[in-house]
Amino acid sequence: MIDPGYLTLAESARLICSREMSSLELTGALLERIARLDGALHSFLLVTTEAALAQARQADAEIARGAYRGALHGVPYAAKDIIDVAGLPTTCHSKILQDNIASRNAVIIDRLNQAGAVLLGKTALHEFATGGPSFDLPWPPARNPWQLEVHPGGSSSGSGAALAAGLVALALGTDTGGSIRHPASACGVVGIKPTYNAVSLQGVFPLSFSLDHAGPLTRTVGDNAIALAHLLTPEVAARMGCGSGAAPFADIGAGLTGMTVGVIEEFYGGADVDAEIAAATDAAVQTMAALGAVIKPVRVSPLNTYNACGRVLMQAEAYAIHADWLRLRHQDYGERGRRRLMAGALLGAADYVKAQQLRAQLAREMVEATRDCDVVVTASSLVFPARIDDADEVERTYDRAARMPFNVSGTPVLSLPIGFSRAGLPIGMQIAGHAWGEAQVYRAAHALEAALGLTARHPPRFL
Amino acid sequence: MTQQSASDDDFRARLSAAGLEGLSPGDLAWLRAAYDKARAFRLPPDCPVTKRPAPVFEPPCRPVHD
Repeated sequence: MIDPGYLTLAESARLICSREMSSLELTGALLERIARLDGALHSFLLVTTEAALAQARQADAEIARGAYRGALHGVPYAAKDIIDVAGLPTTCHSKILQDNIASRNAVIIDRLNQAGAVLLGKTALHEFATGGPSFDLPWPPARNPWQLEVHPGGSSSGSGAALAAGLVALALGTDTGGSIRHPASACGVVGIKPTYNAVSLQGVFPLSFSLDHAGPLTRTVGDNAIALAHLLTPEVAARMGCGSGAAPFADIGAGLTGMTVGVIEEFYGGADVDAEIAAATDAAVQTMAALGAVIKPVRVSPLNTYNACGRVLMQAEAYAIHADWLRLRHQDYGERGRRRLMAGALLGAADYVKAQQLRAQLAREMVEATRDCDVVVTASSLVFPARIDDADEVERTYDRAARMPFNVSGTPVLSLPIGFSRAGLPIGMQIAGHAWGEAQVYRAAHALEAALGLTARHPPRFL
Repeated sequence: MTQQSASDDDFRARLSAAGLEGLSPGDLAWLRAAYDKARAFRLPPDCPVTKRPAPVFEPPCRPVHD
């Protein structure tokens, strides 16, 4: 049998559709990898073995009688444990919700069920998508498959780690200030934060309603496009120019010739940016130019302005959710989560309103500054992830990232691997688009990914 | 009252208003740093906060971006 660990979603779909491999074989093989390898990684909080095998058998039976549903039929996936699956716990990786059983599916789980996908389990995260990595929670934090002592990024840590370790080819995440793109960068996989409101958040526990997004993480750009297409309603898909089938974004392979790529160099041009990351980002831009893109500098407000604006919004909105629990059960939070969430108590109404006003201005600025570009690129993390047990250093890395601007603007943005450090850690870069411009983002990312040829490189420990 | 003592009073008042009492010294120190960071942030001078506010939030699905 084909080694299933690093099959892409697209390869899995082809093999299942042609019945060269059954969903049951693939699901069973991935469950075996999880059982064998995840003890060191802690990427899953819950593995739904029996239900997964039952879903896989059902998929095989349907395909055998000619009722093939499409590219996700029989394909395993994992969901961040902040997303409701009826009958399963949604813990948000917190003692606060340790006994919380979801009564209904999130809309995106329903959509994947309709596509015939097979849920392998729920993945680890930072507590309530903000407080991590933490060692004082009921479950340990996920580790980075490239170096187990290193932070895998967050908050969708388990989703990124499981993908990089070859435990699954599709995982769902959420992104309020970079929580899909951070683990994508740190673990060397692909993650997209789509346009605000493009993917339903119904049934996803909120962190900050006006900044929250849900989206897929995968190991390749093409897989990501397939996955996103299955999360959209037909109306949203039409607005994005997204079809169906194995290549839902028809122009994904059209290449970079004729595209104008803006570069927000200011976000990663400062003295506190790691030199290897800056150099890799510049090299990726040069590669895009060599592939035919027209490169254009883009100037926007300083990164700190975007980060501060987003921080106020996130803290205020998150505090509104957690205020009662923080007052009555604050010892049930982990230290990092408790502190991050309590910070919202220190903000006033004026702070929040001013931040929303600033946000509207920044969103307009981003539209104006990128009007002549098809996509814009910038770095993702400005420094490499810290040791996971070095709390102070982890804290220092949090503001040293260029991800929050796109939560503030609400525009789509994808992180993909563009290289590796001398120490062997992945380097990610962001490609952002206009609202509803995911097709252009995928087209640019697909061309760059093909030129860089990194998709076959995996963490040696998990081969 | 000095600026520092006014700031200390405001910090304590906000925690008290939120019912966040009996916190550990570590939590208090972390929150004080977060408080100071929030206070240090100033809006850009051209941000029109003293004018009629724009809509509180304009997601890109609204016509403003069309």
